[in-house]
Amino acid sequence: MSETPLLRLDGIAKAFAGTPVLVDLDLSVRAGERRGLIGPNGAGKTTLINVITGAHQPDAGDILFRGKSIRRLPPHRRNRLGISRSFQILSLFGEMTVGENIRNAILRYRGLHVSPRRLLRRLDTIFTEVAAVAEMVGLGRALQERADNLPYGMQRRLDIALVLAQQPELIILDEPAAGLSAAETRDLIAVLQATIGKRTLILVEHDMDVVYALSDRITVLDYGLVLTEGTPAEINANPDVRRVYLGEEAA
Amino acid sequence: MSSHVASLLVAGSLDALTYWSLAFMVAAGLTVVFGMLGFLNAAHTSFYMLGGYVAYTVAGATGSFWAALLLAPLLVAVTGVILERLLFAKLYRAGHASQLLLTIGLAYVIAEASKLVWGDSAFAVAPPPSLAGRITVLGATLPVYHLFIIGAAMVLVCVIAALLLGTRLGMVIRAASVHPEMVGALGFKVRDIYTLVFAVGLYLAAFAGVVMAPLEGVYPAMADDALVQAFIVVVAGGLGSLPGAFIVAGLLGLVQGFGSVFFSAYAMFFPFTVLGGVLLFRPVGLFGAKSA
Amino acid sequence: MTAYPDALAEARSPRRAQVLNLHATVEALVTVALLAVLVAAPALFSRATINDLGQAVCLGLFAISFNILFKYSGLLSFGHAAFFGFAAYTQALLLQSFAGLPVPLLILATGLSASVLGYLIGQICVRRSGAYFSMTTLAIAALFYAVAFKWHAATGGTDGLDSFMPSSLMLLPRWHLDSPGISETYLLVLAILIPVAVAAWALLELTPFGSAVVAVKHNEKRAAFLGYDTHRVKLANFTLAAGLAGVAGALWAIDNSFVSTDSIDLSFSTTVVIIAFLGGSVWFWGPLIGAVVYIAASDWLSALTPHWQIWLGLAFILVVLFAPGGITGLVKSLWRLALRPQAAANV
Repeated sequence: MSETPLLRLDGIAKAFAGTPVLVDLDLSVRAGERRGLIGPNGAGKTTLINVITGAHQPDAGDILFRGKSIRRLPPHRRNRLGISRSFQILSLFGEMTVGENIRNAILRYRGLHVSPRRLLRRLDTIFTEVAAVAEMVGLGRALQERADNLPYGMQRRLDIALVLAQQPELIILDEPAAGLSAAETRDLIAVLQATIGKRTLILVEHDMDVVYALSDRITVLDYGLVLTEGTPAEINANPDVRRVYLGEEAA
Repeated sequence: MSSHVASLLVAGSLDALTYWSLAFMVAAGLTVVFGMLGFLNAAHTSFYMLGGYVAYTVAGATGSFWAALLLAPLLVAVTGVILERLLFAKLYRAGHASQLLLTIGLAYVIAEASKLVWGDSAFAVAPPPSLAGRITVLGATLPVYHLFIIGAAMVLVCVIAALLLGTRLGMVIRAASVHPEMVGALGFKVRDIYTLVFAVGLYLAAFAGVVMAPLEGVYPAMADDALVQAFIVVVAGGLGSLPGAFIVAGLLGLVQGFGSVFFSAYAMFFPFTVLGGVLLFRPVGLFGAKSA
Repeated sequence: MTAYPDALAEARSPRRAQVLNLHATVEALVTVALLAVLVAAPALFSRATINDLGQAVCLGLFAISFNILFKYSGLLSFGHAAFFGFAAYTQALLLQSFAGLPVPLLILATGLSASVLGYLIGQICVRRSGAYFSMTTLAIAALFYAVAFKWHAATGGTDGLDSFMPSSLMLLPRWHLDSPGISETYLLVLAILIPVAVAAWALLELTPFGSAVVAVKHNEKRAAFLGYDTHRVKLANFTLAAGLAGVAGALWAIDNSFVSTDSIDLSFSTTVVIIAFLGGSVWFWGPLIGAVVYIAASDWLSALTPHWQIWLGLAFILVVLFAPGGITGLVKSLWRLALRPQAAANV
């Protein structure tokens, strides 16, 4: 354990209007790990993602990325360090085309967005890259479509495409399968398995098929605390987890 | 020497209270409509100006300031109700940009239309004889009319507060501003509530215009002059917060009232020092929400 | 918004790409034609018309600079005249003090100083969008008006500044223009205005910087989580808009040989909003059309009635309610309508 974890949360606490959502939470994710984050509704999963990505400031505790504190950095600075997230409630550039959406992600990642001298039409490599990302998530034929005209399942994929386009070191997906049909979910799993590669993943998801298929380690949150942590097999066998979480799912 | 200081203090305090009252009266309607309906009316002070002009005409016709004070705000509020039904109601959900665009168009039209009716020149409006005199307090000579303005503003504050906090109607209005669908589902006519709030806002604007008229007269630029001050009160108070508007109007009054004693040449800049001071200290305004 | 690259579009949907290309080509042709007419105007129209047109193009650049904030950043400025007026006064004072320097250099200096001012003021204004932005810009413009009104020594107060134009303008070292006529001044204005406006258009429509501005407008939250410093992107566009308004103000001072508080007061900030939306905020050059129409209308209508501005205000209200794209928006939708059957026939 001498190796520095890619992401470490140290005693994170967060309350909204006096109600504690995260309580003295510790979490450590190694580089290359695929971590599932599960827990019943209200366990604090999305709040945790918001704290990691900078949407919320924690009340206490520290967040270390590659051993350095990112607690005081605004969201865009954390993204530039290599953290990119998707959104549970879709957040796309709705009035722009699929191609333009992906281009927005790539231009920033390549650091080209500040360039007033390069002409968009001459950025050939960007265009091939946009097409490749779209192809990767199965949106290759929809480059010209307006994002909010896409069917819901395709919009989900575009949300993920924006994350993948930035080739982040840490990918954070917030319920990527929410609202998808069984078939769409299977496709999504395949897409993610094919594209994540060696990158680190934090996955919040209710659909346990997705979690088991994509994680090699699972953390269970309950009432803002880490209930337990282990391999998918260990979690599946843990009676506490079955009671708190899986039991609820079955009921 | 000390009596001189005392009289300066009394005069300054009365000026401060007068400015406070006027600034609050002008901004109150704007704040109510913005806070409750989410509608930002850039033509608000055009209705304030209309109030002044109509009062001038009514006072001229009847010879009575009191008739003007009674009639002019009502007439302006009725005009406002018609405009609300025809124009503004379309834009409650359209976002502030469309509201601002429509209402600056309207402000433009009102400004030109009142030049058409009343001409380009300024008119004086005489205060009623009963309020025209001066009284002496601690060596300071004070216009009675200023005391009337302060009294009128205090009555207004009490009425608004009592209406909103103390009555069933006020409760429904406050609920409708947060959950219109819910209030609608409970059987209240949200549409009518909105119209009512709008009418009250414009009534307040016109009332302020009438009260202002004997002080500075009525003139074509009075809408623009007041708009800046009203916007400053609303921004620094926290967008849409009535208590915030009340306090910022008080700060404006203090700076205007006492500042004018010492730096009267720079009175034009006083509102900006208040805005700058408040935003420096609290960027979202005194009672402003962090987000949005 | 920039059309998506044609190379890719053609591979996927050749017909669609052709239509998109056609739109872009037509827009470019119309722009070139518009600018060509402006340049050729002295040969085509009377002196009085050129006089008006000079005012119209300066107002047009001002309206374009206002619209840069609205169209690309979604920010509705109510105080854009602060930059225009500031620059007009600055230009007048520079011409008074540095008549020995080339005029284009002075205009550039004025534009730069306006953008520095914009950078400083933008720090406060762009912190929040929507109503907050509109109201703070209005308040700041009112402050600038108060300064112009009070600072008699520099601005001449309500009297304004005149006779600051040197009798001989130095265009370049050793190239002077002696007592320039209306047409010469007009062409000098265009010689600065067109390159500046085209550069701003290219910056916003063709470069990654422009696409960043648009991305932040469409979804500020997502843009931030994709790594965009949204505050700085908005601030950069605000600075650009202030600089352009500054160039417009500088040219206005030269074209009018007179600067007064009229070019910095609140109703001027409102007028530019009306001009921009009348012309059409959806097209970069729409506000320029709006300015020409505004000047023409003020000429023709004011001869008919002294209260022509009522009609202008009513027209503006109608545009806001029923034709949010303004004049150019109307023309554009007519053009699309005319094109549709043809495109369908091609498929």
